[in-house]
Amino acid sequence: MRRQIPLAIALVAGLFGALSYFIQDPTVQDIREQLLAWLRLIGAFAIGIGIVSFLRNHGKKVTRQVSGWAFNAVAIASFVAMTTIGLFGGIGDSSLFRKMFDFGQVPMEATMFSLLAFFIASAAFRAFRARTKEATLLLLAAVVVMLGRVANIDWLSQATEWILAVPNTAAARGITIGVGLGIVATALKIVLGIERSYLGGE
Amino acid sequence: MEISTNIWIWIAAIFTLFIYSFLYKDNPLYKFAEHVMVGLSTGYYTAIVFHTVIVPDFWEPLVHSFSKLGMTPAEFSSYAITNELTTLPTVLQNFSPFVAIIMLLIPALLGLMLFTRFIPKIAWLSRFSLAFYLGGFAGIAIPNSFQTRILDQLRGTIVEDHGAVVVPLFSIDAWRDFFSAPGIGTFFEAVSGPLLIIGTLCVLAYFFFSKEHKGVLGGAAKAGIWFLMIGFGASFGYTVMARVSLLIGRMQFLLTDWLGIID
Amino acid sequence: MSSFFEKFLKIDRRWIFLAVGLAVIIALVAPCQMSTTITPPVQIFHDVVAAATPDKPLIVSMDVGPSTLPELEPMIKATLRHAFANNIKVIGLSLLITGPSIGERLLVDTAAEVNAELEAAGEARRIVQGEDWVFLGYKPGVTPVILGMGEEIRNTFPVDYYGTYLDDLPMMQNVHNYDDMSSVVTISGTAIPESWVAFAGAPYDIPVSVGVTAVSASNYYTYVQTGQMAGLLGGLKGAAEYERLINYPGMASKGMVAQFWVHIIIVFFIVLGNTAFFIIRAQKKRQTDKK
Repeated sequence: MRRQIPLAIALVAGLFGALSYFIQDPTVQDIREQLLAWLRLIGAFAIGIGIVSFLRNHGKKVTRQVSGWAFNAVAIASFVAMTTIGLFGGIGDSSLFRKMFDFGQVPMEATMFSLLAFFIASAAFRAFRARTKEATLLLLAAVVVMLGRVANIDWLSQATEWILAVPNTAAARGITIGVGLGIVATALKIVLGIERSYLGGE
Repeated sequence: MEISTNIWIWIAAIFTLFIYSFLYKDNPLYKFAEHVMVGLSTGYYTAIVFHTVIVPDFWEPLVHSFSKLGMTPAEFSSYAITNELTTLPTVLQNFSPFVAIIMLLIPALLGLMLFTRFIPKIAWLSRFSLAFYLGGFAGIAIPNSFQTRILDQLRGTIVEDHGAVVVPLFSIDAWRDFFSAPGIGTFFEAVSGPLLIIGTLCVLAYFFFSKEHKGVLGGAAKAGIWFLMIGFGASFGYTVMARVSLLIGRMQFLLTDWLGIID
Repeated sequence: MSSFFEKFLKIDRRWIFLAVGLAVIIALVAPCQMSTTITPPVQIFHDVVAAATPDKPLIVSMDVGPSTLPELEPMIKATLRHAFANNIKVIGLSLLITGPSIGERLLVDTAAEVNAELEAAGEARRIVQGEDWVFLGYKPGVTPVILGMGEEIRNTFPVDYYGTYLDDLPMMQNVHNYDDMSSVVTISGTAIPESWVAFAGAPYDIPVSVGVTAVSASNYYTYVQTGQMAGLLGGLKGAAEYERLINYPGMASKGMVAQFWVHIIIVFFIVLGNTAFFIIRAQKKRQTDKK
């Protein structure tokens, strides 16, 4: 029963979700609206799972005092500060919460990702090798696109646009169709109960 | 050069430099900034979800429903419409506050049941929520994914819309133009459509693993690899631009907002 | 000789980091301009936004985060400026949790900038919240949010970001679903544009124009070719092209010079690395043949 009922719920919810796309009856559409509202609300609670995981992960390291536990304590302290300020001080334009977001989280997260520019330059020198014909083709396409997007040379820009519009589109289309078939197949397997890994063990 | 006197700009600049210190080597300043960032972002998500979803979509409608428990369905229906309680059910023409409370508590209960995953003895309860959530999303995804990722993409491999006119990708007119006025422009106009069709079929042939890649299928798969390499090369070229943009953005902040060296 | 190239390939990567960092700083500090050629996907994007009418607002879905801000913020600002200049009303929202704070800031700041320019030009018109723009905030789930807005926007967003009921906002009084809107502009660093195409563009037939980071842009050309995406801004270059089309010298245009020089450096590194690699390989082959 602990597996049969959830599988039945998945079947009913999935079949309704799929068939209601085609049935324009007002009552069916109203029920579909309610289903969507429930999914939105459950999604909000699902974000809480990430928060609990965060606290468990860092909390364990602090209580066991593993190497570098002080940093984990800093993470928890930052979380508590941001949450308290956000819940009780509001999230409006001039709030302390927004200042901490705009001048704390945003610059740090942006800087973290900007490190990739340095690493990609280092990788370009050390790792990108034209060892095979296919790798050579990849590098040539990359160089043409890179230069074509920044240099203001007509023929190079046109060559870049043609590469993007024709061979790149063909490749992306093949991948998109493959992904689409995969999505439909996996979704059907979940709805029909063939795919059950999300239920976990007994 | 006009260095900023805003304490917040200085805080942002200092944290930025802490993160950049990683380029020299891993160090405590970087680790400190990294952990502060992780804590701040998790706290941010908590506060935003609370204020933008939990309160307006769950708590306030629940409180309204409890406070109007004595109303008749018709009175409550009229009250809900006037007060824009749009998260309450429209499936019933006249609904009572009691029904409204049930319709709010069910998704909240399903959401809370997700947290039982952390308690091994009752973790099986989370299956109900996951089944509803995943089943619902999977069902909704089927027709839409089929339409946009498969049918429309296949259509785009056969014809192209030029405003109100539908033109086949393999265009005899384009070849006629090339033969009557041979040139680079007319050549690429003529060959691009067929190349797009061939490329798409070859890439799909490459991803067909149910049959061994020999003979015609093998040849098509090999051609598919060539198209994929060009696609990945284009993607890499674009990725470089993306990463460099992030670096430019940070440098613009340091040089403009913090140090005031550039406008 | 081969040991020189072998040592050269093993150079400390921090010298490469320094070269890249200096290139960006010098390019930003040196007063240089670069012109930009306009590509067809950007032209289509511009034309779709320009075709909107004052009675049908534009949805601008600002699904951005701190890690995608340098590329996407110029696109959002340019779209908002384009809309405000053409008297097109804007419904702003976000489907990404980091989006609402950033989106609200951009709407408020852009409206203030445009109002300052209108005042300097002696025009009486002003961009007013509730009349020319609204910000609905964030809701989780993506798919149910997009689908919900197709029936009745109030089912998904009963109130705006500031807690005002939509019926109390003048510009939202006759706006209920996608039939009452001109088009959707989605600016995102994630796969959300595909969801807009699948759950708004396909079932409700509303044009979906897309601005994405350069990482995703090459994958979306396939949607532009079919017309499922009505225009595409790809990365900082796409933003710079759009700024040029609307005659606005924004941050994207200023950043293109630095882009140019860093790209040249990276191509130089690729060529240098491969040259050294082939020389080492040829020398090893000669040594093997001699033996």
